[in-house]
Amino acid sequence: MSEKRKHVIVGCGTAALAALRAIRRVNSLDEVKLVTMEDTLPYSPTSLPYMISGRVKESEIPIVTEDFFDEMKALLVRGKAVVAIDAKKGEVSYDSGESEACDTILVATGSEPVLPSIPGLGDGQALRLRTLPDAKGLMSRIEGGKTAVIVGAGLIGMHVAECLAERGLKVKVVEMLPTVLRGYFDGEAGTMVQSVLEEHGVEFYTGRRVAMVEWKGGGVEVSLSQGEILKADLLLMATGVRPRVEFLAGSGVEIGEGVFVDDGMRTNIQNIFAAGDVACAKEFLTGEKGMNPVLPSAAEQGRVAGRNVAGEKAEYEGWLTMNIFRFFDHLAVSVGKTLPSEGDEVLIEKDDKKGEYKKIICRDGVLVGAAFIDENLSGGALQYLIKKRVDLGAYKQDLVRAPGETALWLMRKAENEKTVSIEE
Amino acid sequence: MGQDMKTFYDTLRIREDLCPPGCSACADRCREVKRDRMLCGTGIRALHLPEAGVHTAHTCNQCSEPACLDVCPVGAITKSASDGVVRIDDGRCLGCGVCSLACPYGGVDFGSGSKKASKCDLCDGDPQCVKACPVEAISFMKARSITSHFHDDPLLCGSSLCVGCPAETTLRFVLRVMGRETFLFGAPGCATNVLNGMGTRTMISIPSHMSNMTSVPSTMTGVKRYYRKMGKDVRCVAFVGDGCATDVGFQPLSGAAERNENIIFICYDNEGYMNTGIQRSSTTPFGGWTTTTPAMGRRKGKKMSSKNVPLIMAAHDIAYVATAVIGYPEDLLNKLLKAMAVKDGMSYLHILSPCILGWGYPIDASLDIVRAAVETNYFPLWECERGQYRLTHRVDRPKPVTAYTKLLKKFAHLEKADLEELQGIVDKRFNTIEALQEA
Repeated sequence: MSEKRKHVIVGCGTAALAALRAIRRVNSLDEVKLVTMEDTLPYSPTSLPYMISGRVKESEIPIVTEDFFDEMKALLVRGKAVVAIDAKKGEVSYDSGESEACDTILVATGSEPVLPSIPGLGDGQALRLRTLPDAKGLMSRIEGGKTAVIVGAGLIGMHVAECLAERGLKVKVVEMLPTVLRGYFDGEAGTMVQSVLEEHGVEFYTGRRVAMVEWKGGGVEVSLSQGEILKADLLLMATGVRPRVEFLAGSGVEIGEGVFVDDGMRTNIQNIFAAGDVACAKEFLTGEKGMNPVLPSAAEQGRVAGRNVAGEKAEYEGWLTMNIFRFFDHLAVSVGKTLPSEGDEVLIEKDDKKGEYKKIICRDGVLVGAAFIDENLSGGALQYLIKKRVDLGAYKQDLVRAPGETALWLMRKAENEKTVSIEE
Repeated sequence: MGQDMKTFYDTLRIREDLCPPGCSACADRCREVKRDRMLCGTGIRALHLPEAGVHTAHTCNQCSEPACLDVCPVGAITKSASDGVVRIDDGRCLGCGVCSLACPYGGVDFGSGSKKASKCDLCDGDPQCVKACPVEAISFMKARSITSHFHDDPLLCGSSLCVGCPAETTLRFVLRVMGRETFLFGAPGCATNVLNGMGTRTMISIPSHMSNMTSVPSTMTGVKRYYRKMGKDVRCVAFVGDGCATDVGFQPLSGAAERNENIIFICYDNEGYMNTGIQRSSTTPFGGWTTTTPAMGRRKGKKMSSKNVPLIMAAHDIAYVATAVIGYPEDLLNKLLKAMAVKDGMSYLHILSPCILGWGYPIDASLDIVRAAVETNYFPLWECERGQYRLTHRVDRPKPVTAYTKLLKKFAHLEKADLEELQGIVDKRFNTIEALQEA
C-alpha cells in the first residue's frame, strides 16, 4: 500500500463534492480537505431562485449535512479563502496568513457574476444572484407591486423573472441578443418561452443594450440603447458568470477563459486539477476547450478529477451544452448544438398554437443537438445518444415525433449492444 | 465506503420480449401506489413504439455511481448502502429536473407537468409492478440475500492479477462464502500471485499451500487426512487453473476422485495456459486461438474440441460436481454451499473464467462474457448431486453460439463452417446433459 496522500479541494460546490465522492469510491484512504470561503454548508446557486420563489427555505438548501463529511472522512473548512497557490512547493495559502502543504490541489472554486461596464451601474446597489447573501438581499427587496428590471435573459435572469412575476412584481427583462436563452435555444424556441412569460406579465426588451443606469431616490432608471427608459425599484444583473481564478495569479497555472485542463481534468501543472465552472475543458462535439458552467458538467468533471486525484485513471469525454428550464408549468429541454452548422440535418416539428416545439439536429446519422418544449422526455437519454454517437438509423423521424419513448429505446438498444450479455 | 462484495442488491429485471402491445399495467399500478408521493411521475414507464415493434417497460438502474445524485442542487437524492436504492426525497426536491438531464439511462421521470422528479424506489423491497404485470415480464431478482452468507474477506487488497480478471473476483467470492476455516491449495498459474503474493507481500490471510501442478489433490489428501487423525475437520479447497486440473494434474485429480476424498476442488477454467503465454490446454475449445494453436493460413485455431472435464468428474461418481460462473452469483453460491455440506466425499466445481488477454475482449466485459457463455449454452450451468444431474439455469431460448464467439477475438478467424461445427459440439454437449438430467 502506498502512503497516504493529502488532497486539498478549493471550493465545496457540486464539482468538489462529486470529486470527494469519487475519491472515496475508488477506496482511497487519502486525507481530503475541502476549503470554502463561505461560512455556510455547501449549497448550489441553482437552488437560490427557488428560495426567491419561496419553494425552499434557507435551512433547506445545503447539498449535504455535516455528517456527510464525517462519513466521507473528509474535513470541511469554512470561512477560509485560498489566496494563493505555490505550485512548486505544493502549498496553498489562506487569507488568514497560514499556508499548508499538500500532494494534490483540486481547484473547484466555481464562478461569480460578471458585470458589464455600464455608466452609472456602480453608483447604486445593483442586485445579483449567485450567493446566499445575494439571495437574502434580493428577498428583502421583494414586495408585490414593485417593478424590477433584470438585465440578461440567460437561465438565471429568466428564472428570477419567473419567480418575481409569481411574487407579484412587475418584471422587465433586457437582453442584448435578439431572443432569450440564446445559449440553449434557437430564436424560435426562445420566442416561445418568452411568450409564455409575457402571458404572465413579464415585459421583454430584446436586442437592446443598457446604455446608462441612473439611481434616483431609492429607485433606478435604466436607459436602453434604443432610447427606452425603464423605471424600476430594483435592478438585477444576470449578465453571465466568470470563473473565480484571481487567487491563481502567479501560480503558473495556465488560465485562459478559465483554468485550462486536459482530459484528466489536470492543469498544466502535474498535481493541480480543476473541475466545474472554473475549468476550461474539452467540448464534446468540437474537441475545443471552453466553458460550460452547468450542473451536469460540474458533476461529471468532478467525478473525473476525483478519480485522477486519487491516482486512478479517468478520462473526461467532454461537455455538451445542455439545460432544462421549467417555467410556469412548461418545460424546455436542450442538449447539444442549438443551431446547425453547414451539412447538419435539421428535423423540426412545431405548432405555435399548441405550444409544441420539437427539434433535432443530426450529422452523419448521429444526433448532435436536440431541443424540446413541453415534452415528456429524458434529457439524459438524449445526452447519451449524442455522447455515444448512436446511429439513429431509420428512427430520426420517430425521435422527433415521440422523443420520450424513442430516445429511451435507442439508448437501451445501444446499451444492449454494448453490454455483451444477451440474456432476455 | 467503497465497493466491495457487500454490494449485492435486489433488482428489477424486465424481459422486453414479453410485454404485450399497449399494456401499461406496471406503470398504472406504480402511479396508483405512489400517487401521494410522486405527484405526477412514476417509477416505471411503459414504452411503446408500435412502428418499431417495441413494447417494453423502463425503469431506473439504481446505479452504483448515480449521476442524478451528484447533480441534485439540494442533495435530495441519496443511495442507500443497505438496499442500494437511489431515492429522491420528495419533500426536498425542488423540481428543477437537472437529475433527469444528468441521468443517461432515463431513470428519472420528469415531464412538463411534473412538479417534482420521480423515480423507482423498488417499493422498499416489494415492487408492486411485478405483481401487476399480466405476463410476468417483470421479476424481482433477489441477490441481497447472498451477502448473508458472507464471512470476513480472507483476501486482502492488492493482487497482481490483470485488471478486470474475473478469477480474483471468483476466488474472493468463494472465500467469502467459505470463511476463514478454510485451507486453500494452489498450483503454479495465474492465481499463484494470490496464494504466494509478490515479493514479501501476500494478500491471503488464511492457511494456504502451493503445490506442484501434478500434486495438488495428493497434497490435499495428505493434509486432510493428517488433520482428521488429529481430530480436526479442516475444509481443504483447491483453486487451480485448467492447466493443472485438466492436463498435467489430471491423473492425481482422477485418483482423488476415485478415492472420493473429502476435498473441494475448484478449477477456474480460462481455457489455456494464460500465465505462461497463452498456450492451448485440453479445455481450449474447438477453433480457439492460442499461441500454440494459431490462426494463420489454413490453421484455424485448435482442431479438436475441449475435454469435457466436469462430465468426466461426474463419471467418477463423486459426491458433487457442478459448473458455475461468477456472472450468476446466486447459482454459484448455492453450489458452494452444497459442496461445503458434503462431509463424505469429493466435490468438484468447474468455473469458467475468461482471460482478457488470451481471449481478447475489453477489460470491463468479463461478467458479460460469462453470461453470454451461459445464455448460448456454450457453458451450461448444471450440477450432479450424488448421481442426479440437473440443469440449474435453463435458458429458455438459447442464442446461437455465434452470439458468444463474436465477442471474443480468439474466435475471430472462424468461418461459417467452423462456427457450425462449434455449434454442433455445443448442441451435442448440451443434449447430453439434458438427457442425463431426464434419465
